[in-house]
Amino acid sequence: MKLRLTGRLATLTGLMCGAIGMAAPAMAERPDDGLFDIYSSAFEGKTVAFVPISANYDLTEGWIAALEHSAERLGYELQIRDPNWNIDAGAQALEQFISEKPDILIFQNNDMHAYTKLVQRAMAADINVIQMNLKTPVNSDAFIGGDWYQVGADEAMEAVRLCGEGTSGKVAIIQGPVTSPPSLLGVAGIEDTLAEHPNITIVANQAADWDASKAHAIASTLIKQHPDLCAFVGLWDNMDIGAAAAVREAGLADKIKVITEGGGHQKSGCDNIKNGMFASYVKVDTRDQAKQLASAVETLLQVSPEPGSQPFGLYTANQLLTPETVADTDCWTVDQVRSGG
Amino acid sequence: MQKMLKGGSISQEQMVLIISAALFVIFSITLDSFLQVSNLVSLLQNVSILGILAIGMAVVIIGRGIDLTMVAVMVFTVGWSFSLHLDGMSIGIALALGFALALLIGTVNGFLIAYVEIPAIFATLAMATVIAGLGRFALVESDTIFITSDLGLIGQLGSGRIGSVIPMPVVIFLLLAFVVYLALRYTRYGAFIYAIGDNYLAARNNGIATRPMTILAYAVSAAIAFFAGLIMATTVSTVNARLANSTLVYDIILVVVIGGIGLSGGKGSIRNVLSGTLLIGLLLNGMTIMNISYSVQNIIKALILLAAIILDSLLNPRDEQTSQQGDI
Repeated sequence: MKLRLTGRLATLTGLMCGAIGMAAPAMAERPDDGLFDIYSSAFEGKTVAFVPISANYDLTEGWIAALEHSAERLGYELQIRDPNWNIDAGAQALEQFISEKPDILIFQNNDMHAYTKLVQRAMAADINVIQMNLKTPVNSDAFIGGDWYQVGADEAMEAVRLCGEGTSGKVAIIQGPVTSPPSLLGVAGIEDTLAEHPNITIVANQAADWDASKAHAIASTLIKQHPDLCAFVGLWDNMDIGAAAAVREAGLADKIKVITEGGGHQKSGCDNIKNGMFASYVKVDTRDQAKQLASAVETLLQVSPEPGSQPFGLYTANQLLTPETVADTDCWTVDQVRSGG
Repeated sequence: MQKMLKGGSISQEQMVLIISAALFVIFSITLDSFLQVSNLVSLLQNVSILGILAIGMAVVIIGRGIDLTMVAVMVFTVGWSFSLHLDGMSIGIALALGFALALLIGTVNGFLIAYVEIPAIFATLAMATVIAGLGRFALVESDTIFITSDLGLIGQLGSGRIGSVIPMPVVIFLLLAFVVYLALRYTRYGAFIYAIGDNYLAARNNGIATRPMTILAYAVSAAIAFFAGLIMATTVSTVNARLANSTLVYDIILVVVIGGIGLSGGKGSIRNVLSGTLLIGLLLNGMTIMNISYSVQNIIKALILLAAIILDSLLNPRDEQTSQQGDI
């Protein structure tokens, strides 16, 4: 609507100029600042492809909302193929995209090594590659996402803070699938940090596959085994809500703390911090990641470097949220990200 | 009517009970806090949803069918109900709609199998994909639905306790097992399902309305799936639609088969489901207490299940005269 109105105004201006016999420009041109014309023509006809783990959960919904907003604003084409948590389907989607040669290929990998070869093939096919949130060991043009080792370390420090004097110092780790980067790196971060604090002991380390009901089953068993447990250290709010439910069910909400991390989605994050399900929350803000992803796409489309020649990383800054410190603005909703907020 | 396994030899169900008893004794001796009422209660609670699903699957399998849609029905009908509720619909109406959808899906499954005569495994495999696709497209908007509102009494289904000791999911599991046991054993519909599973054509020739009975069996399994989903959702305050992609449906079949209900139909009872569920529960609980790593847990689970099947096939060799394709 706005565009059309501007166009009409331009036509009107042109007509008026013509009527009074002046040399009229074909369109109202904005002053050239030396870059804007190059900038605005950099996106035309460009294609950006994205293969998330699944398009339907809080983090990817946030990133996709930002990409859609940016694609609409700048005029590039965005294609998303949803493998729906299936690593094989994801590999197929990537192969398909590689043969279609988009300008940028973004992907999020659910498994540390599964897509390593495909990253190299995409770059060999002259496609700039962005790895989102979960990185393979191979560098591509950009990585945007959590510093999972530090997330684990920060959670461990929270365990140290919450399980000091007067507690048993016992903590239990609940991780996702053992091959996923946040589990591999996060658990390493937790273990390395706790190794420096001998008063804290890890009494269990179990995998719940990012599933709340599995986390519930594991947590309820561990609570019986270690009634004096001080904290669960989990690696994703969507899963750890199950552990928190088990703690609440056992009537031990004031004794056993649930420390978790997440993207700061309103419902999975802040709501559960406020109602006391989570005692501490390391936020790896999806909003920040979404903006950085959109900016990285914007930059790479202009620069289009030789794939893999200048790898850069944008690691998300962690923020600690607790029931005492959490504020209304700390979390986000998909609608907010979609509207550019 | 219920074909008994050869008299004198040990049935698979007894085999599973023996293995379970052995595990129980070993865990009681070696694991400190295994033999506590609270741990045994939580052991039961952790497998009660699996057990409830297995009861529904057992009904279908006894009728010589299989229902691969159970997990998809479970997450998407319940997910839909809670999506509607979170959008402002009253919880009662939202759940009624979800339940109606589950019944509809069960009926469609049964119709495809009984009237269109598609083999159950293909009909329900295709339907599971249809439900998951439809679910993502139209029923739920996110993979995880957070139930943020207070559900009152309904919330007690998953997280409540009777006498502050026995969790509601366990109570519901045992109650459902009892009801379905009575229905299969003492009603004529139960007898019909055994007859159909034992010999479909003979049942039909004897005047049993085999086609409506097939539809009934699938409607029952879909209804049970809905209730299992409701309990799961109210236990952890979320609905996890990702479960539709998981291997949970195979776990359900495993519980049924390991308990001794043959895939060829017509044999087994709810008792078999109970013993199968108990074995899985013991394994999961013991291995969690021992803090065994995920991959090793999978290996142990697979080996014990394999051992149970091998022992069974040694004790109860296949009968070449009655065996048929699809038998295990």
